[in-house]
Amino acid sequence: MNTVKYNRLPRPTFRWMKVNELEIDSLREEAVQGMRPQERHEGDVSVTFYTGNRITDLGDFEGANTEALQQTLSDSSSGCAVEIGPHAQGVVWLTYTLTETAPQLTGQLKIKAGAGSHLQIFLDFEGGAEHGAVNLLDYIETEEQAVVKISKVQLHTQNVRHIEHRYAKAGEKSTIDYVTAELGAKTAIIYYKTDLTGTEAVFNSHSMYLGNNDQIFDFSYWVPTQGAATNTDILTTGALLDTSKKYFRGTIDFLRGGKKAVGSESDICILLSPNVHSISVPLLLCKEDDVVGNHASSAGQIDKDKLFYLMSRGFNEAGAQLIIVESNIRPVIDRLGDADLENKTLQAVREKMQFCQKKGDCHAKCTQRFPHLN
Amino acid sequence: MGELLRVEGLKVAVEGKEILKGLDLQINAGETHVIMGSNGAGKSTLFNAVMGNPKYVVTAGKIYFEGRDITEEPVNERAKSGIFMAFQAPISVQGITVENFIRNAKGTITGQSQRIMPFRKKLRQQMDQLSMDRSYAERYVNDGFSGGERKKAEILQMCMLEPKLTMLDEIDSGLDVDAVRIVSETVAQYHNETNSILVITHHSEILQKLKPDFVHILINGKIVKTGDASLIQEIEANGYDAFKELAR
Repeated sequence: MNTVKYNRLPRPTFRWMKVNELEIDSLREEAVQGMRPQERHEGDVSVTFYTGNRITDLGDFEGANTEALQQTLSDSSSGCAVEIGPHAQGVVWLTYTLTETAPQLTGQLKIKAGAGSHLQIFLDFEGGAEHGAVNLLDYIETEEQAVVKISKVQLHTQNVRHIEHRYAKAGEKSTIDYVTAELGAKTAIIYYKTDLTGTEAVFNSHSMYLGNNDQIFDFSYWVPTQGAATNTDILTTGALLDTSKKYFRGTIDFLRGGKKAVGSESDICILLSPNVHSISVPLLLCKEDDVVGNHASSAGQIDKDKLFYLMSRGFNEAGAQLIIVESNIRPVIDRLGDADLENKTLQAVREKMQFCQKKGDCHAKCTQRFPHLN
Repeated sequence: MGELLRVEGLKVAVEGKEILKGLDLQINAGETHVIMGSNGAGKSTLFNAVMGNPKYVVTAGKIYFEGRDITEEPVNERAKSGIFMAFQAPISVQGITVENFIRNAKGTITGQSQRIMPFRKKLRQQMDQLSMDRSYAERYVNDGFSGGERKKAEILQMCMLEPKLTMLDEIDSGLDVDAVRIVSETVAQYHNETNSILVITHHSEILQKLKPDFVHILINGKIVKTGDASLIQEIEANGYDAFKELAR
């Protein structure tokens, strides 16, 4: 079978380390149907749907893979444009559902935020399609002092390949904030490039994942900081079960002119099985002398002292493990900002950790309390 | 008074090194015992072994709780039996609030789900008694807490979980004078004829309220002397040197 490479490091390192990119089997080409997400919105925001390409200003952005990116430009059948005017506020909910009759999605999400605006977008990927593929290009452009927050929950079934190319251009004093919960799909590949060109622009990305079976999560970041006094904060945190894998590639690129820039990236992974793989490549590249860069990476088994502490309060070992895993990812879930999505995510976590076999609407209870752990 | 804890000939090793070298101890319901000893004598090892910390390997001897051999029991089963250990360095657990954590622990230990309103009312009363700001109930467990706040949170857990045997591992370390008074008063108020307190401390302030029935001197992994509260003055006056002779 042919293979295809995704999420190549912007500045590759030694080949023998096998961390420069993700190489996996290519998927058979399937016909792509038009898919319109379920949508609702509040506030002074415009949401329109389109087919074809409306994103023309990508510069040298190559996405997770140039061919896959090209597909989103040439074959997009599901375009959504969200625009918010200067100083307006708005919230948009978009739900993409893969079904047996519509298991493929190739599309675009184009977001434009006017000066001083505040836009929150909730993205919910779900559905019961046995097999499927998502190939989505997100494009965000913010003007001065705009704030755009994208909260995403991905709960595909485990035979779906989810590819997202996330490109953003942050204007002066604007903020781009991603909060992401990746739980579904067989392979989830997320590629972020955010150009911090404006002075005091801010880029935040907080992601959580929980892998089981042979799932693969691949997060790749490239943040060139050209504006002065920009701020970058990247966190991925999660846990791996069975034979699942996680890759983290974070490159904060302090370019000339980006004085007083601050960038931090950290990757935390709890290894719940001896057969999991956690690869972490946090890179700080520096062409400017007056910057602060921090990176941290940790991968390890459950903290035995924490396990003992929790068990000394009556929780059994599996219950204590659930609490530790949840405690690791809960700060990200709590940032999603939508109670329904948070509850849905928590329920999915508990299902994966085998503490909840319930299907249906028991979400409300999940945030209230842990399930009985005795 | 019925027997609560009995430790017989207990030998415990940590990473292959023997720390407890044949320790005997009996605690009956309603009693307060104090373990004193120099650093590295094995005091915390005793607590960890009784609680069942897998890092502390019992190489010989037995631990009985209410007459039942618990030497091989997992930690959570001991907790359900009514053993509670207040940690010297409590661990922080992000993602679960203090209220949620204690309520679930209580439900797990008792096997009965806890109704929110009565539970919350009692939690608030206990927090007030410990001079803890009620907002701590909504914070993640020990996350960002000062040393003193963490110790108070341990006592709060004790009050809510209502164990039969409470082991306080240097609960007074890192506390200011007022906090020591508040903590010791709360423990004293909790203590009654049905439960027992076992305390490790290097300071006598906390013992003014707790009024120990027995004081044990632990040297080099063995209890070398047991006496009443007067032993504390003796140690404060002369240190442990005289007792080290007994260990030889």
